[in-house]
Parts: sequence; C-alpha cells; structure tokens
Amino acid sequence: MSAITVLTSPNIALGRRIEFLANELETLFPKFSEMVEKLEEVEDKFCRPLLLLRPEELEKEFSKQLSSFIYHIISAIIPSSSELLLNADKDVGRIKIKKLIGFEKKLFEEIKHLLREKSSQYELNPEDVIKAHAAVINYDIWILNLVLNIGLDELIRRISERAEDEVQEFTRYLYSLFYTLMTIDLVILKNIPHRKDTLKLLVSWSVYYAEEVEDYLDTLNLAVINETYEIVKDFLEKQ
Amino acid sequence: MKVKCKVEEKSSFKRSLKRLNQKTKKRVKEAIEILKEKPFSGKTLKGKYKRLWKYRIGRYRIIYLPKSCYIQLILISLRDSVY
Repeated sequence: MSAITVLTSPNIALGRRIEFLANELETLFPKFSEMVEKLEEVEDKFCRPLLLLRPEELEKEFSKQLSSFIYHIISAIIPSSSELLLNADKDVGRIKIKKLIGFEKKLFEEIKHLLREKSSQYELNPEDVIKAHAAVINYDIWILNLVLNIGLDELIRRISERAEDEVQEFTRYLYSLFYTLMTIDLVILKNIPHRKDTLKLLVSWSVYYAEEVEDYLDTLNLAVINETYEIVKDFLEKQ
Repeated sequence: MKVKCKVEEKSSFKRSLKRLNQKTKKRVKEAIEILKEKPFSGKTLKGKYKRLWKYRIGRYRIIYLPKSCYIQLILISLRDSVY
C-alpha cells in the first residue's frame, strides 16, 4: 500500500499548458506524451461526468468512482514516475530529480497566476483553488526530496515500518485531492460544461482534502526522518 | 489580564532551535508567545502521533504537547513547501 504513495502526482502534467515548461517536461519524462494521453482518458471517463451531476448526487458518485480512478491514475503515472524514481541512486537520475523539484516550484509560480485569473471568472475563491494545488505540489516536493536524500527503497521501508496506518489514510485523501483537482481544472483550464453549484462543492472538498494532505505530510515527515522519529517516539513512550 | 501558560522546552527543542537563523528564531519566539496564550492554536498530527500538535511557521513546524496551561515544546521540524 505504501509503495503507491511514492509516486509523483498528475499535477505535473499541468506544465504542458505553459510553453516554456512544456519543453522541460519532455526532457524530464521521455514517456510524457503517453502519460498525458492516459490522463486525458481519465479526465473523460471519471472527471467530466461529475461536473454535470447535481450537488446532492456528487458524494455517492465520487465515492463509487474513487477506487477505479485511483487504479487508472496510477497506471497513467507509473511508467514515467517509476523510471525517474527508480534511478534516484544514479547520477543521471539524481540530476533529473533535482531538476524536477525546481520544475515544480516554477510550475507553482506560473500556475498560481493562471489559477487566480481563471477561478475569479468562475466566481470561485482563487486562494482556495491555489491552496489546493499547492498541497499537491508540496506532496511532490516532499516525495522527491526524500527519494533524493534517503533513496526509494529506504523511504518505502521507513513508511511501512513507522507509519503504515497513517500512509493508508493519507493515500485516500491524496487521491481524493487529485480527483477533485483534475475535475476542477477541466472547468478552469478547459472551460468544460458544468454545474456552478457542483463546481463550488468540488472546490470546497478540494480545500478539505488539501488540509488533510498537508497535516498527513507533516506527520509522515516526522516519521521518516530518523532524528525526528527517534525524538517523537522517545517522547511518546515516556508519556 | 491574559493568562500565560507555562512552557517547558525539551532539550531536543533547544537543539533544533539552535540550528535556525536569527530571523526564524525570532519568529519561533513570537509563535511561543502565541502558544502561551492559546496552547491549542495549532493543529493535531495524525494517527498514532495525534496526541502531538504542530504550529506552522513557514517551512517550519513547532511540534508540541499542550496540556491544560502547560506546554511541552518537543522539536522544530522542517518541510519545504510552495504555499
């Protein structure tokens, strides 16, 4: 279970919408166009249909589709993401991961202006939309830094040994966040037909999932870093 | 008059504070003053760590245990973030 959390997010594909970042993505992920094609299939199959539902129908359908969405999204991301992360112990892999961390930060700087402008057009609170996207980028940066510093296998080992239950709970929030954001972005960035009230509900869910993701990241961060883990473990044992 | 809670700085907290630059140390001290007045103004961690609380200061988190007007500061944790 924990291994599926050690993947980059589909959010990276947003970089294709910004010209100077799109070229960088092709260099970082040789299979990038395949990933985009699969992500677009996921958008069509799982995200688009949600947008025309009435708000009261959304929760049932979202819950019904979530497990399949997770399977499809992992299938789309694994070929590119695993190639990158599995090479973290090689110089060329490390260089790529460092570049990707820089890319994620540039992506956020660029995308936040776009999100701010577009979300206002749809009468959404821009800060909510930006905050939800930031949580996904923070997750990517967290995973990439850890893989770079302690290696993929060691990261999976520490998560499994020290926070197996927490990572399982985290995974559900993380993929729920991916699902809501991919659906919201269809409207904001592609102007796909939607119900206004349903879109607003999806944004409110994305903010909730984003807050949970950030809280779990802080928890998992303590657990995977040896020094902080030992301090916290020792402290809790003495209580 | 506002009630200020007692704060205990664990040695692990002091060690992590020492590593910070002056600007961040100042922000941590300001955060501790807030926690003295409102010990539950942070958020709880998750799962088996949920007894502990975190208070965010930019890229840093003060990890602490609040009791009724007594706070144990455990450490300062770092996580890079864009927002």
